[in-house]
Amino acid sequence: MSILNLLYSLFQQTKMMYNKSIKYTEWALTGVFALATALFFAFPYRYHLYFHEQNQLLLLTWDYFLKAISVPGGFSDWLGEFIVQFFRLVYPAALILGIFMAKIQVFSSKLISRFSGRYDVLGWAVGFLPAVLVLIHLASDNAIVGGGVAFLMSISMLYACTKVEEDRVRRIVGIASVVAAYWLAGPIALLNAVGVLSYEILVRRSKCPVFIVSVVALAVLSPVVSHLFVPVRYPEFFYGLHYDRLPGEVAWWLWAADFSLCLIMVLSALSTYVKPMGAKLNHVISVALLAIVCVCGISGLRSVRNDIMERTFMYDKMYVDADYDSIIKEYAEELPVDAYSAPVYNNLAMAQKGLLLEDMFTVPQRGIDGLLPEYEGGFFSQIACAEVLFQIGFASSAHRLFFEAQESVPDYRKTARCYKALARTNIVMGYESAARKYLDALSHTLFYRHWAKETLALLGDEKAISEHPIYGPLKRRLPRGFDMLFNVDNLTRPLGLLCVENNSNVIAVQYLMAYSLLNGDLNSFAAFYNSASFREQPRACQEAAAMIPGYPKATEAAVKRFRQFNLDIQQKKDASYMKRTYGDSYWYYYSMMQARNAKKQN
Amino acid sequence: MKKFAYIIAASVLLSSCHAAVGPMTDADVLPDIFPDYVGVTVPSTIAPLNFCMSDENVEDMLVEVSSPAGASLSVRGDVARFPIRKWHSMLRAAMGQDLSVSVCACKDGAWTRYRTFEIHVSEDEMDYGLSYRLIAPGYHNYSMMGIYERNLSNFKEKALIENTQFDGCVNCHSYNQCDPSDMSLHIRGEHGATLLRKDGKMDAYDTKTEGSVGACVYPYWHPSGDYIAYSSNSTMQTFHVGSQKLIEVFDSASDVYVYDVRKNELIHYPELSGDDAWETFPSFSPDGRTLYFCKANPVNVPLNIRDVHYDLCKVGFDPSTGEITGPVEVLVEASAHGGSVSFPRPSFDGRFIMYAMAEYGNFSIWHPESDLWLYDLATGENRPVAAANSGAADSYHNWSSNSRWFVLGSRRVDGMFTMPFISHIDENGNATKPFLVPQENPRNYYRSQMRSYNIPEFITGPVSFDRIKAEKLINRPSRTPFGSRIAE
Repeated sequence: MSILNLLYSLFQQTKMMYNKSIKYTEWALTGVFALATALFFAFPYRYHLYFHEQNQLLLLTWDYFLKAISVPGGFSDWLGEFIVQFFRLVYPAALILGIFMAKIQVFSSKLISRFSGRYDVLGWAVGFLPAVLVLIHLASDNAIVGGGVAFLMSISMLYACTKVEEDRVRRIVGIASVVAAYWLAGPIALLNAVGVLSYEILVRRSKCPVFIVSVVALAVLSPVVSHLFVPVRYPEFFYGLHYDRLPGEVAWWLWAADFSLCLIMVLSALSTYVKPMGAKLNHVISVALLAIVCVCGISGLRSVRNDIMERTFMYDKMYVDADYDSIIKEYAEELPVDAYSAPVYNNLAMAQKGLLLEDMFTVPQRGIDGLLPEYEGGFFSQIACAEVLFQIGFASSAHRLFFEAQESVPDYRKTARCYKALARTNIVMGYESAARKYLDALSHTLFYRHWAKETLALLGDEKAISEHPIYGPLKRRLPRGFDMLFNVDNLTRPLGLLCVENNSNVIAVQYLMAYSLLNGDLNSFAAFYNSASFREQPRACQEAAAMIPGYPKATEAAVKRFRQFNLDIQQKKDASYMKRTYGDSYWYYYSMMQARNAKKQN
Repeated sequence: MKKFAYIIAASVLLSSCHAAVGPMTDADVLPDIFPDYVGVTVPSTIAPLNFCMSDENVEDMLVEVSSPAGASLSVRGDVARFPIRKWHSMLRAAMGQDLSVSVCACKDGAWTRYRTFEIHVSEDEMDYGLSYRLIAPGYHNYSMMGIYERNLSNFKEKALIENTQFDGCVNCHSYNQCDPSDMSLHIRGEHGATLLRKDGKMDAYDTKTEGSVGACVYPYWHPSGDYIAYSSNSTMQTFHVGSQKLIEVFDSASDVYVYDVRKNELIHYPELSGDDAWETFPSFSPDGRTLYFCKANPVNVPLNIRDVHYDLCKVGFDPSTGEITGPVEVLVEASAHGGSVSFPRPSFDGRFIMYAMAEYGNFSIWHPESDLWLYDLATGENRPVAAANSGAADSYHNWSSNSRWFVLGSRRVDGMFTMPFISHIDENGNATKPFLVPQENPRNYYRSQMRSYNIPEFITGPVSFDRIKAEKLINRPSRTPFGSRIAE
């Protein structure tokens, strides 16, 4: 008997240890998921956080909050914006997102256990599926973090409902939660309606027709009635106002998370009607499921990842941080040049360091378009072009493009990036009252408040502005005595006039020369170079000068190398040799441009 | 217990009081306030003219408004906010008289008493409110915008339609002589259409007809409600480098048409169309027998944009047939004086035409030199509305239904954003200093308002507009096509 007792107690202990280890495994899995999410956002996706942060302007004012919550899903969107403002700080933001995703998984798993009536590893594992789908949503370019918050809010409200034991109270709370969740989280709260219905009918086996009819009616009526009060496109009340940046676009990954959890809840509840599977099978399925979720998650993330945009965000961030060396370094390693604004920022960074005419042909160039891109609807391309124009001295043109970028944000949000820029352009142009509007808004933010207040203190103080290290030089670069209409295809004249007005505007001088060189316009170059004075003749200018017969400023070394270049061309040296030997010269760029033009003409 | 009650009452009283007003220094200058309401003329129904000191370092104000009848209204705080009922009863009692406003301001703990100024309360009534578009003063791209109405007796604003309801932008809203029951509203973009509401029925139209330049814009209702004058413009933009001006919006072609609402016909007039002239901004005289418009000689744009000069012209109109009558006459030959006319708006009493005058072009709101001018139809006198103009762009304007008030869009506050000002004008065309449309907290409101007021129009009552029906009509793919005919 004692042996039997001993065996029984041993069995019990083993079972307990096993259960404990299962529980530890579950939490360990959650920890790994949180850590992986945090690492994902901290490293390969760090500039994505910057993009989110720069594309919003959360004002910590009562008016802003009230306006935000006046639409379905507005509260979750506001909470999302509140979280996103911390995305300026990459590592804390990554940690927040890791915890956030873990919360979604834990709530999903706990919710599943409420429906299945048991707490097992399979339920825990299944909870990763909606969490991973929400993660993919957050990694998409146009996803709004508020969508993830809406999902978490929705499942936590549903979970709280299922925890109410008293039947009548639970039903009342359930009915109220359908409407409340719709208004706070938006239509993703469909999950709440499906959840409370299936929980009552399948788990609690209640047959209360009033409850069922009420939930169905409220779920249907909430969007319909909302449309009467909120001036937004009707379909958006059904698929969400604040889940995707593009109005009219459905946040499919988020809805996939929603539908999958709805389905899992219903299946979990139905599973109580059949005989439970054995522990071993349960574990095997759990492992298989986790593997599938893992593979699907990685594939999903790869499918939404947009490397070109990530590089674009990176260059913009580096420019904002005035990290010109990193821009130049990254660009030198970037082959092929995919990010649209990459050469624009690289040229601007080189110009800021006075190296544009020295080094511009040591890296790939994209012609005029890589120096001063033509108007293009994209947010970051306009921003890049605006930054160039602003530094050159064309503040009004820069102002226009910053304004265009602001207006091009598809969901009509205001952005911290543009507000800061518009405050600056207005200051430089002398519209201080208009600048005050932007600064006043920024002074109601958490992270721009300090800058805004410092800048506000400058307004009205002409001396302080003219002595300011940023605004002073920019103000001095403004055109004074001419006005003409902007034509990106012919900026030589305004650039030339700007340089004549102020020859200490080294950015304009570099851009004027670079513009002529990239255009292959050696006549204009010769005229400008003749009147320009450099302490040391820049390499690109020396090389271009060597191409002009008898040009006085041509250096002997450059002329000698150019002769060799011509000789090698006559000898029809192969392309790889030419690129290896002369790829860093203006001649090589020029000859390639001529070849392209000839090809186009043919 | 009684003692305790006294202590509570005293604490409540003390906590609700401001610090005591200290010694006062007299300054023999008028207070610099925002909005600048010094010496303005207002209707008796206007919402409280709340204001604050322009100097944002002012911590406190003590403002007293008194009427000749001896009534007074005192308020204190960083913003002078007048209680709405008392304000209205005071203004009603002071019609035709001046209110005196005394301002004391506290900065760095020191109080200053400024010279008292007057606000004149006119006996002329003003309409119920304004309707306008709010739009960011942008270029190609646009974000959220809408058409709104504002009750001028209080601070309530209501959205009539916003472009969050469809893909596109809303513009060119027009009412018939301030009566909001007839309405024309143009939608641009993917769901482009012209919404017309007449006799309570609303429909979405495709206004482009064979031979017209494009869709119909710049509507102006005929007083009978049976016609709408439109222009159709091929509009483009270009941008300045190196000046205070940022943008040029210009036409490379434009014609004037009249739409017969009853017959659904857009009438093309050979005299008002063709390549030999650009006609735009039509408007009817209040008797409906004259059509005013602007006309310019075509030039190569944008290259010679500075040579685009619009004259103010008129031609007779027969409401019974929809035909124009007589030759086109030039009323104001702005081109001869290096100017350009836009937005001619006849007063509803038939006496004046108010228009915007800029150096060149037709999009005056982007021209800082743009001013309002007045043409006296009785005497032929033509002069700037000096009292209403500023150094910044003063442009789009419209009359109240009794022609004693006009609203204008001006950029005088910050140079970038257009704000609505209202000015009184008497039967002889003497205007008063315009006042900025009042807001509950004007500094906060206008500081945080990131959209410009565009095409402000007086309305005689609230606009009954079915936003949901409009949304359905706009998002519906089909449009009722405008029929057309060529005038005989």
